[in-house]
Amino acid sequence: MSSTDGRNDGMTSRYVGVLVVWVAVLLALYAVQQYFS
Amino acid sequence: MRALDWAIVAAYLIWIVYDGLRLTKRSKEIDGYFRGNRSLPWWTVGLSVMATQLSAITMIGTTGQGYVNGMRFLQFYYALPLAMVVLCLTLVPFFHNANVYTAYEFLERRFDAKARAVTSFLFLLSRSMSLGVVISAPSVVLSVIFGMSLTSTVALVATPAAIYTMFGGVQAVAWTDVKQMVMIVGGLLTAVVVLVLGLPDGVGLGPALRLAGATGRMQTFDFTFDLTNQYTFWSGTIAALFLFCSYFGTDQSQVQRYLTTKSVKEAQTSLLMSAYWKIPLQALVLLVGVLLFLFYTFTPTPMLFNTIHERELRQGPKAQEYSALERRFEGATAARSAAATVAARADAGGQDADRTAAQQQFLAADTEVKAIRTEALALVRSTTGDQAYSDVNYVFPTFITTQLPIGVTGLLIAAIFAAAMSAISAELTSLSTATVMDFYRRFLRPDGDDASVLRVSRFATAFWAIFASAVAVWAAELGSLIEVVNRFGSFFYGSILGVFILAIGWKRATPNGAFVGLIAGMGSVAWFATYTKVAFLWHNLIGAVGVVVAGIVVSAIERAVRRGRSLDRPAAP
Repeated sequence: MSSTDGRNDGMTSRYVGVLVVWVAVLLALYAVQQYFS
Repeated sequence: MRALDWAIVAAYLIWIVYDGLRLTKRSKEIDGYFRGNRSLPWWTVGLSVMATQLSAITMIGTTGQGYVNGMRFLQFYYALPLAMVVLCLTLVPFFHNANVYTAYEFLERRFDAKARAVTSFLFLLSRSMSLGVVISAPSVVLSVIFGMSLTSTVALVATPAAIYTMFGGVQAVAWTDVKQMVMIVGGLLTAVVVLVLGLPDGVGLGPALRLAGATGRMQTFDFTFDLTNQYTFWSGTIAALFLFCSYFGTDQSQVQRYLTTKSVKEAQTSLLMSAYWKIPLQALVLLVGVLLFLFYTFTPTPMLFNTIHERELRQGPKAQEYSALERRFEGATAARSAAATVAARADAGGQDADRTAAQQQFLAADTEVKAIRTEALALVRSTTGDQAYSDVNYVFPTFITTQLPIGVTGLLIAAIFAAAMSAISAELTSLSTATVMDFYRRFLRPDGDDASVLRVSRFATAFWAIFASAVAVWAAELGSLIEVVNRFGSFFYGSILGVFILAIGWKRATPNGAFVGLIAGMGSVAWFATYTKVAFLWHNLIGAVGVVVAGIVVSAIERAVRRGRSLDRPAAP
């Protein structure tokens, strides 16, 4: 793939990282809600 | 505000304008002015994108929302990281590789000049009106807080950003945004520290937040599926995904920023910064609102936060009614404060039974306070005739100007100005770019040299600043117009996204298909907005789906008709 198609240069692992952090943040927010409610 | 606070605000405004103007020398030609010579680092662009979204409305409106409703509004942003990944994989590489100045220029290459002109015109229309609201909301609040005329605060809010944007172009916008972002986050963190330190002795942060939780203010998830409810997990992850894809992927105020990076990878990395930080940052803003609620639970709180309306009621024909309400309010807030202290202490060390009973007592006292405040707001509504009246936007500014020590007040007011300027400058530069590149240079002077195009660009920036300021004064007078403008914008967002989905995702889409699809998408949103109670976040999804479905159908019919005509044509001898 070329360097401008948006899918290489290590970007795939960054997207996976974003999704992992996203799920972790949502779980943390849910935990905060449960703890303080 | 005291003299030192005014001095801090004035020094900040002068410094930021000077800082923006320093970049004028890098904006002598079109590419430098509109795209920063495609040389800005990803972190500058990333911070600039985030600063643009943190407008003064966020600082005063969202903190007020946190005060009244708690953290629930956070759900609105849950889809943002997903939207960023989707855009990095789709639109960002297309825009960057197409070497365009505006998002709409891309549509001309894919469809025709009409598609470019119509979408760019819709952008100019909705963005210029919403810029008026972005200027109006803080100006109205600051005019009450400072005791100044609305025209003066509109000028104070809009002029600094207009000056550096006019001369420095997108580079000035992006680099000043970095400083504005530091100021905004610094201001918010300062507010959190002051509010936590302001809790009474013996009341810890944990028990205090549990009190907020008991009132529902720590709720960050609502899993009920209700299309009429704006803030649920489902509207925040499904409907908002379309809103964010449209806003970050097709709105010139965002697209222009990542066109300034030197490579696709840098553009993608800059967007991922928002994916990581937007939800925590928004949580911080809402947390300030929740802490304000706790602060005013333990400290005497005004019944109405807008002092002008409070004075009007005190001096008007309903003065007696208002005074009676005020006496009840003082008693109720004192009872709530006492109940909150008992509940927080019981939470820290008591038995479960004590804790539950104390919390119940606090909730009963809070309900009474809320009921009296509702009566007071109804009194304002009946006096002013404004049925949508609310004073939530005044909560944070009131706290800043009445409770903070000298110097810190100035710092936080400067942070509100920073938030206003970062949003205004981004919108101004995008309005100017779309006006010049999609209309002036495209239709009027295609062969204009850089100097003349730059002159027109600066004129366009000044024009939009004056136009939006006029809208700001007008919007403030009409009050409910702000909501009309927001709904007006939601007519376009999903539909414009639909046109881009057709452009990139459906190779057989024709220019006429895109045009009819756009009309159909906006028509569907208009129908849903008029005849149903579906929350406006879902309008983005409805608009996008409407455009794509109608666009595919019309394109297929057009192709079939063309095929039929070519078959009817007699074969060449």
